[in-house]
Amino acid sequence: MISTRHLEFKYRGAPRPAVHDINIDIEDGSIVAVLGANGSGKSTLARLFGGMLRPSAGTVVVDGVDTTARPAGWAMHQHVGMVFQNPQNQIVSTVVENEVAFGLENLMMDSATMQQRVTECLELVGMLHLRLANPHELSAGEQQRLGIASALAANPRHLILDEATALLDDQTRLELMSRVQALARRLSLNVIVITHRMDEVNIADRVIVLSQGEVVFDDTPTALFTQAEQLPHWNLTLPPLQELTAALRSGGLQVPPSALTPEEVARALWP
Amino acid sequence: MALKLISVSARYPIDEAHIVLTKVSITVRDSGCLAVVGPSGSGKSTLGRIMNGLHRPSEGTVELDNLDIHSMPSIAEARRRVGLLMQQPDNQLFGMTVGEDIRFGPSQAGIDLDTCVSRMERAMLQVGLDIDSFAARSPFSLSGGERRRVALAGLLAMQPRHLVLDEPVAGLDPAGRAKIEAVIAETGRHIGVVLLTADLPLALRLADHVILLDAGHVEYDGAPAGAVADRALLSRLRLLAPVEADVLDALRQRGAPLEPLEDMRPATVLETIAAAVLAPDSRKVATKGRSH
Repeated sequence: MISTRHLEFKYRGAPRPAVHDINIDIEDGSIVAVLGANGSGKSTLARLFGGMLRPSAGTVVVDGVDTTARPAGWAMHQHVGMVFQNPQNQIVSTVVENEVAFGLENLMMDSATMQQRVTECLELVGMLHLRLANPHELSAGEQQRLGIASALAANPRHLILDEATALLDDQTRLELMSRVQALARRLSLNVIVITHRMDEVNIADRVIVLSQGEVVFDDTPTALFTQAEQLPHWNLTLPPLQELTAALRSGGLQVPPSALTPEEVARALWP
Repeated sequence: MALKLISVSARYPIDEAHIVLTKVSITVRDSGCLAVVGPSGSGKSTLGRIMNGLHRPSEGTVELDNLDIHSMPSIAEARRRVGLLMQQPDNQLFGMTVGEDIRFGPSQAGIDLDTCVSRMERAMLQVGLDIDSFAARSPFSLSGGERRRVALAGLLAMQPRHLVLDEPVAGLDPAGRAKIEAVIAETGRHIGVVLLTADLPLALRLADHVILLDAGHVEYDGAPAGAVADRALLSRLRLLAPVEADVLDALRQRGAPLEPLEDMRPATVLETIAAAVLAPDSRKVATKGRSH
């Protein structure tokens, strides 16, 4: 479980805190989407969860370990796996299987167990056939799946994906999200998806919306979609179909907000 | 006068058996926006690097104004004329300040300081970065969207004839994306822009010509509206059609008399739908047709 109390973080020289008075409890085995515009504080929150940043005030407790207690950093890495927007920044090896094994080597694991673990993790992300490839020659989608495999290798209880699908094509992105969803269920992983893409919250049990460093919404994805008119206030866009129907309405056409599929929109326009 | 790729093939330097592009021929006009759309791994980024001379194709030629860029006295000249915005703007930012970063290219090209400064100011204006607020800041203190606009300004300051943009809005929030899209639309009015992306809806919002690329092969080369006609192809290419195309299809299935579309820009789609639904004549004809 990850718990924060009165959590605040301010970057040096910044006029205001990046996150302010965050009080949340994230239960084990859940998938939580943290949604917000650029600069809303969501990546800062992810780094605070992972112990990469220390709070300016308040606390983050991950599985009973306070990230402000020293030395927390090393312990955190085994609790929390993190995958970032640019997978290239995380790649250190020239062979895919060595990349996944890299973190394990630091855990003093024996060779046979390590081999088995690498195979399992590559299988989980559907990349076993690329185990001997050069990570730098993989596509962005494959690199991101490799990032997830490497993060899973240390067997963390929490996996944080910080805009991890930003560089992927739509289909790969949605496939990756459903793969993550299956992984979360199969491994009882707690997954935190940091995103600004509305369609990625569908896999989550819970959505937390951050705006200017504060929690402005904390409920289910369905509850979020019923408050669609709030989204622009948080610098989030409507899902594409709702954006289109809003434009049609402002052009004088009669399309009810309840039309949620292309067929329903067409029926409203051409009964 | 154009940038032309003629039957270009590319392989990975380390793994010769791995073919990235197979006999791709593309003409980039001197204005407008050409979108090359394909899934991750389809060869888009390699194509971008070939267009700008960073990567030499294993077969075929790249011509700028009918001259093979690899037989030019200096490949730097081709790179000046064809700007490349990389997928990760951080890879091409290195100035201590935003202003210094944007001036760097022109100053290296031997342009005098006053001209460099005026080019920097113009480029910042083009990408919507306020000179007083941004010129003295470190590029690395900016948000992802701002950094991408700095990188774009650095390219525009070189006054290129063509601009190749590799996933220019990936990872940006709606506000950041809208700003970059506006810059692309405006830039395409003056120079030839190539948009490399896996985001088909984005391509259809901006492009006047679309190429669909799959595993290094051109699968479609034509008008934007035609790019969404073959849904089986889109599915094989792992591309999502924009909702506009789905709504148009659903309207056609209901018998709405929709004019064929030249492009799939939202304004065009909205106008076409409004014309069909609101025009009393077309509706009467359609209603009559349906009542029989």
